[in-house]
Amino acid sequence: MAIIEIDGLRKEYHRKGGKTVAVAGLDLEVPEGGVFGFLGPNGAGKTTTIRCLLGLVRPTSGRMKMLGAEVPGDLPSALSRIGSIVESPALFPRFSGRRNLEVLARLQGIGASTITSVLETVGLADRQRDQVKTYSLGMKQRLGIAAALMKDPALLILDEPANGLDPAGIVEVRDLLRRLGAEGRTVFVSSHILAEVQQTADRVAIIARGGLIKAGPVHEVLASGGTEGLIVRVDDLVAGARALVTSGISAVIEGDHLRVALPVTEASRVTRTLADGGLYLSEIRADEVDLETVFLELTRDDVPPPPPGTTS
Amino acid sequence: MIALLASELLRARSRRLVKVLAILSGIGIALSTFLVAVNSDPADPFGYRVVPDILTGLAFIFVIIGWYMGASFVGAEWAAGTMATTITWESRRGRVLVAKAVAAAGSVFVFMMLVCGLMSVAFAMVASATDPSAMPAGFIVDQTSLVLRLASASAIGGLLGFSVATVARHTAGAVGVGFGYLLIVEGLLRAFRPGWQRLLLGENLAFWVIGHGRTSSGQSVSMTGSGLVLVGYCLVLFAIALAWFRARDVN
Repeated sequence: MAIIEIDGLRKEYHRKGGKTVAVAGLDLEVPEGGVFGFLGPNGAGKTTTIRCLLGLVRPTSGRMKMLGAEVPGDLPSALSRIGSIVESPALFPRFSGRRNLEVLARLQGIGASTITSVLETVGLADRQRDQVKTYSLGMKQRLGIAAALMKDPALLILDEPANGLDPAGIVEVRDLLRRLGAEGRTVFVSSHILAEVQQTADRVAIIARGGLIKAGPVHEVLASGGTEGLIVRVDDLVAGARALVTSGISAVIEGDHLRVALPVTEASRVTRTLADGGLYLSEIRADEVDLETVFLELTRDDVPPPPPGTTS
Repeated sequence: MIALLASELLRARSRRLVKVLAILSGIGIALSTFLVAVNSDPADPFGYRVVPDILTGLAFIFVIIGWYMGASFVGAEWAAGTMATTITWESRRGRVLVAKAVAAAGSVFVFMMLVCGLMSVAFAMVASATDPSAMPAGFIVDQTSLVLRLASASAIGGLLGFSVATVARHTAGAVGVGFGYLLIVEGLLRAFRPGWQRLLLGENLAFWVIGHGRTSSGQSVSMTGSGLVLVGYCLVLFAIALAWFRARDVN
């Protein structure tokens, strides 16, 4: 079952002298459970999409559903199960962290024990009485996550949750997102820190210029971004390349190594061939394609977005 | 709706502005009481009859403070971006704005009632020490009624400031509009359209506080009549604010 369904979402902003299309017919389905990474370059329409989903922005056209509820018509019935942060968490700077949560908690009759619990979860229990204006950006981000967690949500929508966090904070947020996803919640997280998403998300969607470019399980998206191969280092690159090509294995010299067009499962063919030729490896490893490479490839300006409905 | 109100009232009483105004009001009451006491002339002592005059004379300031409190109640939300946060918890914007408006106007009313009430008590105590005559019959009832009218006029100012700030999404903008309208627009209307005086905001606030009034053209206005005009101002401006708030994107 899809927990978020977006069908032909379009949002135009009318400006003096024309209009800006922020989202151009986006189709997206987010399955229930796990962490879903929502990726795209700046201006791709990620935040606008999230704002449309949360009822902050009226879409120009298109249909959206969250937790089975039509958005925005039935959104009020679903909001009690949706926690969210849009861009940086908006908080009252002169209120304490706890008072900020108390103001929100009253909207849904959430008790003091829940507030204490979420503050402990995000590691802000010892600073809860301090004014938010004294918090670092990372602490504000964690307080925003605490606010989102107060509802014990089935769906968490987090827009760039690692923004402003130091490396330790990023690791904490990554662990938290994984834990939340493993608990059976759906965590929909937009981010530009691709390495983080690759380590955290089960599935991703990549959007650019307001439309969906690619979506699916992380390993599928990675597989679409490049050919499998091996990186091989030997002392004599020319002799190594010759030995491999002579054995029918495609190999080319790239800088200080050989790129061999074989999957990692056939690495033994390479080692055997080179050893037979009296050449000994100093390194052999899989030439892994990372999300950043795929992302940059798919979101290049000269790559047109596929028509709606051709990706899933 | 109750939950929304509870949340907004918690925010209202947590605001630094309310605490700062409470301190300033305390200082103002103490200082004015001291000045009234030391300036009381034995030949013409400070008496009970002067107490309502002083409060009535301060009505414009009370309304402006109310306007500012109301405007900043929602203006601070736009400045901090917390309006978006609220809407991600309760997306029915009409309810959100009504709850905020009730909390804003309600907190202005309570605050001003306390300020005017304390001021009345302080001045009455000075009068009891300086005025050889006894407290006039009905003084307490009349003074209580005046305090309620002053507080409600301030709350009306608060609601109008709130509505303008909802549209402008800015506290200072709403205060500027308030001053500009009251001083310039109504000043011009008073000069060039004296027949419209009956409907001006400034006049009706004054008539409401005093309890009755008469325009420069001699038209008599009752407290009920001025109250109805003020309610009309509130309804129209709040309806515009509500429509604007529901229609526009929240960023």
